[in-house]
Amino acid sequence: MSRLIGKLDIKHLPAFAAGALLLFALACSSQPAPAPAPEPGIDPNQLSQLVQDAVARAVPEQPDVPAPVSADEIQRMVEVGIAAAVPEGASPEDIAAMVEQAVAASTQPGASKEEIEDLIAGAVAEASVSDQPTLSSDEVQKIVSDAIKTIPTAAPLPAREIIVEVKPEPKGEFTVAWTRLDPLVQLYSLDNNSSVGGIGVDFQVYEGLYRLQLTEPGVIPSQEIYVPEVAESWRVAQDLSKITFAIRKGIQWHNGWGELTAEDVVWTYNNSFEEGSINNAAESVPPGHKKGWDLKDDWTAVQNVHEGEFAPTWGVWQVGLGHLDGTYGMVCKHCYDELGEEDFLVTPIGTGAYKAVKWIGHDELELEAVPDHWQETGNVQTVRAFEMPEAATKEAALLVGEVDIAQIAAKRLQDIIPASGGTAVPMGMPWPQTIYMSGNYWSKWCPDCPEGEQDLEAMPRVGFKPDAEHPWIGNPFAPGCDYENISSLQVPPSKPVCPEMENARLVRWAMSMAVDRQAILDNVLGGYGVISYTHLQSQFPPGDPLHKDEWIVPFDPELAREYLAKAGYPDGFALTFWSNDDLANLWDPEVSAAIAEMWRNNLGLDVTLDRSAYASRRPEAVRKEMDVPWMQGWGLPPGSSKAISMCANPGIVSGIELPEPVCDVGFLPDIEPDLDKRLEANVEFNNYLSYWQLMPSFVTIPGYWVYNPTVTEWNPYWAPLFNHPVSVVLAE
Amino acid sequence: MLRLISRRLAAIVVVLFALTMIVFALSHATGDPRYAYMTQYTRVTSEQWEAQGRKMGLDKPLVVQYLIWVSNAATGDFGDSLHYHRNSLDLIIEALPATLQLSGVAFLFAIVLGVPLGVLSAVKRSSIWDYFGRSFALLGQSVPPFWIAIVMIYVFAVYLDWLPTSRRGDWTHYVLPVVTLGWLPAAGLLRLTRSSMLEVLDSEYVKLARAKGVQSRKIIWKHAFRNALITPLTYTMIILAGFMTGTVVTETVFAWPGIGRLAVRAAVNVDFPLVTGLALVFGLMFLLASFVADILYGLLDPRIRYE
Repeated sequence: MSRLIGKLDIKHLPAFAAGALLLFALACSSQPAPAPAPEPGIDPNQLSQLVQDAVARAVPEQPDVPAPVSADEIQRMVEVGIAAAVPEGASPEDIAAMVEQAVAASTQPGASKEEIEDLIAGAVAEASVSDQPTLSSDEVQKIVSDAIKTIPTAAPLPAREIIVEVKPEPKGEFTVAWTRLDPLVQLYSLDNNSSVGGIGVDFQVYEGLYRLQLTEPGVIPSQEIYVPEVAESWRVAQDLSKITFAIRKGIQWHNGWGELTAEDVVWTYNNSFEEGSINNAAESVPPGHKKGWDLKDDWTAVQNVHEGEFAPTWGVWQVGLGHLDGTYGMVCKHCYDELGEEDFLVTPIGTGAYKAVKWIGHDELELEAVPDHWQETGNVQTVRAFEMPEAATKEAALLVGEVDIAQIAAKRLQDIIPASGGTAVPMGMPWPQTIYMSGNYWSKWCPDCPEGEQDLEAMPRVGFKPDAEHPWIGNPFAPGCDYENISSLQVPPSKPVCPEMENARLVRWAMSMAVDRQAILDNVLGGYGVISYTHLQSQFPPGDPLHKDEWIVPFDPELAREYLAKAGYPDGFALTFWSNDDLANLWDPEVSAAIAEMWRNNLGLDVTLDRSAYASRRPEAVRKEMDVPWMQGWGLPPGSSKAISMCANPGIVSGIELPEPVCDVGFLPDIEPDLDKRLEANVEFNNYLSYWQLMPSFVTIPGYWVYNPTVTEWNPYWAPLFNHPVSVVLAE
Repeated sequence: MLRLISRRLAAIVVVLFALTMIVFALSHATGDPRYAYMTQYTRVTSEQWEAQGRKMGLDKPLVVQYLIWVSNAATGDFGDSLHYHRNSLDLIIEALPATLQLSGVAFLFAIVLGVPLGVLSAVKRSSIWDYFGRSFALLGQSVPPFWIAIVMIYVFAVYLDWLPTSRRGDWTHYVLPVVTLGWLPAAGLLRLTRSSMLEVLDSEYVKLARAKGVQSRKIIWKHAFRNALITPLTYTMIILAGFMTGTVVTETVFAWPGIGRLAVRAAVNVDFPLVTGLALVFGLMFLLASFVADILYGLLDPRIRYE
């Protein structure tokens, strides 16, 4: 029996859960009625536990990749798994019959998650109309969905023979204009530019363990379902101490460097985690998952997890949800050993559908299609990417056909599309133009302080300057301030807050209300974008059921001036406003210029607009020295946490560190598998941010890439930068 | 002449020494260099932090640190770039040809256009040629190069489709960046040449030559031009040094992978070894250009030679 259980793989989990539920539903519907006493039924917690147990049993360690199982085997597995959860009144024969019926009717190897969910929904509906329903349809549906979501599910891939389509030979060439083409640094521990995991994965030179599903342009892919790539399947250990990845056989390194094995996978990850590593992909990995990887055999890699620190959302970081950049592409260990570090760093060797024949940092990338690639062969033989930092040059090159695909600012589409005849593709999340009101370090927790000195009475951050020159910085540690009151998620706070906090809040509100968001949208952005009020608004924009009207900040210069006077600054004050212009495709310098001008005109502020490059001031944010308002903002997919940049951590923060109770809620989305609960937490977090106006947002700008008529088809993944060259089809 | 050369070389050594001190001081003024080596993604213990400090010689007195740094720099070892993870000098040498090609052609453009137009403008004073020359100079010196570049791209590449928009390639790729780069110095040269020529043309010996009936062409090119050349020559050397140390705007707009863009990237990425390496190389180039200018002065003007 244990052998049978052992054959279970994560990809059978939905089938298993569906079978279990169908069994339960059928059992309920066939209860002999009426019973002398009310059936105790199975309460939600009990059923939840049963399903969780079944899930745990379904994912034992098993080094061999199981072959697709037959309906008979599934039937037997379900029997074993559900035996302990049989409702009273059903005989083993009844159960066997029900299981057989359920399995025969539904679960086949390779059934999609959607199909299985439909079956579950049908079964639940049946259960809820039985004589004595123990649970409502919604309750059962929720429990099963939650159980399934605890572990990322591999979307079934068709058999390999089907994957490799018979395609014509790749031919032709296309060119992409790229704003910043980082040099190749083919070693994770040294790469803080995402050359392998960013550009390399985007251009399909490197492949990761798995990836996001391909969706229609503008459609955010599921955060629970991933498509296996280098990993054929994966399983979470019952005690959550490790995740075992079965590595696909037959994947070849470029240029005859042999076959990828689990050793490469293990080395790739361990190298990124090693002491002194500056890799930014590793930075986003949950701490509990940085215990290190072990090699079990040539085709099995094991990710170890610190006890009690298993992150249910671990699947997200490996694909860099929200930004394809920073994900892990596999690199070749024996190539490193043979070439030596110096040569290996600059010699691109991946396994993807395109191999890099030229990679000159900040200049040019040239790729060639890999013939008969195991996954999908590109339609186009040669792909070139040129670094073109200047937006106007990119537009011109696109218009005259020197490049075929380029990122174009949304506000320029109305001119570029008619002139080029091209097609615009929305990519990634829109970028909220948000101002971080830096200097508000309100945490009493200092993780980067020496051990034993991390619990603080007051914040010692260099950038914490709650004085007359920084009136937007509040001081919750001031004498007479009730820290507990301010740390509460309840807004407005239950008790009046001290002047040191309230005045700063009024100043921030004044600065937010003095900006005419509509005017910026109409005049600066040509109408391309949407008005926003909070940084997290992209998760619940106006019209969304979770959106709250109290987040809306009116344009009211008169009230703004009144607030400023009330706070003690009737004549305004001087400030530096940092808005780097070297990432103009993300944060539009014209927007920050407009905001600065409105602050001058509407509030009488003496604003110095600092255009320093992003990297030049970033260390201040890392060292917690940032004490000026600065424009930033990242578009985050629904349910993603933003807390990391405004809660105490040893790395970069936005110049804001919130009290721990607020951060506890802010970090919930990192560990909560249920999307609805993640969103609820973000709403609560957003309430706090909005009330205190710590991150006012003004407009949100969508990101667009445009391809010329020379390209007839291109289906990018949901990410902000060019990707998926394999899908590009050229016009004849 | 030998004395002039030795004096100038001695001056170069002194300036270079001062330059290294300034670069070293500035690089330390930006904070602990370990922050540059250990980025925000690095997690290190205090022991590792100290160990890195010892490895970088930060535990030594500042003077010792400076001497170590200078001795390494003298052998071309500026350290590995933090961004590229390659030797900084290799990166500079790789980027240099692109800049030299562009700046060489732009330098010729500036001289070929600026000097004759300046002479013409002076000789044909208040004529249509003079007005044309002065307008050319006015535009060149007042319109920002990035604006010229973008307008020319749209006119000549997009609307007329005569030239490519950007990047390195055949001779057609040079036209727009060369004009962008060369217009401003050409305008400066034109004005300097014009004013020098006007001054010389008004001198007694030119008047004498005219009185003696010397041919006008001979007066202009042999007597006046050679004497009017000293001031523009200084300027050409400054132009040349400026070109060789990169032309940030032109290289950025035209996606030209030269040393100017390398410098911008180094600064943006807080690439400490590459920035200091570039600063030293740039300084050295300026010093060499000044040295060449000084020698040329000596050749052209005996008074300087015998001072």
